[in-house]
Amino acid sequence: MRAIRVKLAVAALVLAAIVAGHGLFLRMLTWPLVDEQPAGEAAIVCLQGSEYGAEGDPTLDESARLCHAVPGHRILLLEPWPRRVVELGIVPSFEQMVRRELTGRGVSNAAIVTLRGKVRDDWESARLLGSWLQQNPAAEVVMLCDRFHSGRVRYVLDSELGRPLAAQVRILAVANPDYDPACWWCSRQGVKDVMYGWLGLAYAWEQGPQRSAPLRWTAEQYQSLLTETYGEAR
Amino acid sequence: MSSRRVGCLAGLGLAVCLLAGAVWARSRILPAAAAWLDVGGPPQQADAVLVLLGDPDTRGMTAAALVRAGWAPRVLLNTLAPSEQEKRGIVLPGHEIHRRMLLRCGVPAGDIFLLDNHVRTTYDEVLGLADYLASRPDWRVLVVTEGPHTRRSRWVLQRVLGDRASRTSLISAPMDECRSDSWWQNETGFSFVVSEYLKLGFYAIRYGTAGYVGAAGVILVLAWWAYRRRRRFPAPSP
Repeated sequence: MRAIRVKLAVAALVLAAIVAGHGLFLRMLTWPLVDEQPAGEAAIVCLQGSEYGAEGDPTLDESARLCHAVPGHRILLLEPWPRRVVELGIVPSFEQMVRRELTGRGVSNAAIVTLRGKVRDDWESARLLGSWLQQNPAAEVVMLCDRFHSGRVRYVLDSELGRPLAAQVRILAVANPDYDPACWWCSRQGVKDVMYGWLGLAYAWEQGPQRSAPLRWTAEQYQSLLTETYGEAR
Repeated sequence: MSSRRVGCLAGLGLAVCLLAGAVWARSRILPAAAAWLDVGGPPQQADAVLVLLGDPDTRGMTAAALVRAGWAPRVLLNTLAPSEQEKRGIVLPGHEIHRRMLLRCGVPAGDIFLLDNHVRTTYDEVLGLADYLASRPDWRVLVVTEGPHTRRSRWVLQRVLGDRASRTSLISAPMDECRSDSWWQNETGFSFVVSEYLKLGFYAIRYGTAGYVGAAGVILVLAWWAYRRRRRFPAPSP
């Protein structure tokens, strides 16, 4: 009977510890997702993103701040694969959007350089940046990315570029302004970001570079596919 | 060897066999896992197309193709609650991108109806549809989304609309990177399919009865464990 009481007391203690320390436990859950290094005096800022935004507004603010802090700065844009909304002229391209926003924050248009490559994922981004770094061996680059995406970006850079080149790139993890990253579980967007962060990191660990380049249809190809599936207009 | 140890070894052996079987049969299990999520069917004549807000590259273009082909005369679009970037004008709101995609793909402006409801989730979107259909009980609606999202959407439609859910049909928009026979070979497909399973679980707990069923299951297991323990170690008689 005494042994049962001791066990019950231990179980109650463990439960109390979990309830009291759930915040610490949930924050620990994101440790592998975040990996950043001090930006130092790096004069080149690198941005990657989609047509919907450069990983969030604070990334643009932070890029402009870094540019103003370091004389002779440059900003590298890794050109993403154009989605159909861009191809059809519905939204501006990533490059157009970033140029518009950064020049609006006082960054000179001439300081923004686009690396053409139509990248489809982080692995292709790393390859494109790597080929630029080989031509600019003295360059120190700071790459801005979403906080819960930074661990994966670091892993991809290290795996794809190897140590000497990858060491030229530092990561600056920028938090989403829509929620507090120290309390990510309090917000729906935070939960989604952590979930997708883990899925992306797990996939990168498990699979490495994509086995085959992801298929992307152009607007015309997709339109033809739809017409074939649903028929012609009546 | 005690019967308890034999039981543990048998359980371990069974787990190893199941795991080995899953690895061996993965080329069948993985496509089936994606196919199970996709409950989309062929289009039927309807009164409207509802585009669940998401990727306009797929959903918007598919909805426009359905209207152009004459399956429905109009498109319904929920409106999203604005994000920080949208409030600052850096990017367009998601529903506005969808609207422009529909216009660009040939749907007349007068046939696009924006539902003023500021949604955030699939559940909110179906609530928006239910509100709209309250005064149109006989309408048939085609609901457009990507294949892996259709099962969760159907679950929500059935939960919110009840019997009227039978007047809706789910249409799977073709996806560039997520095919049921190779979704695990690229990150987009992997994230989409796995996250859909996680979201299905979340929806079942948040909006369904899975939470109560799970709690009842835990209580039953604990009661069974306590009962077995009592039988094995009966209280000493005074």
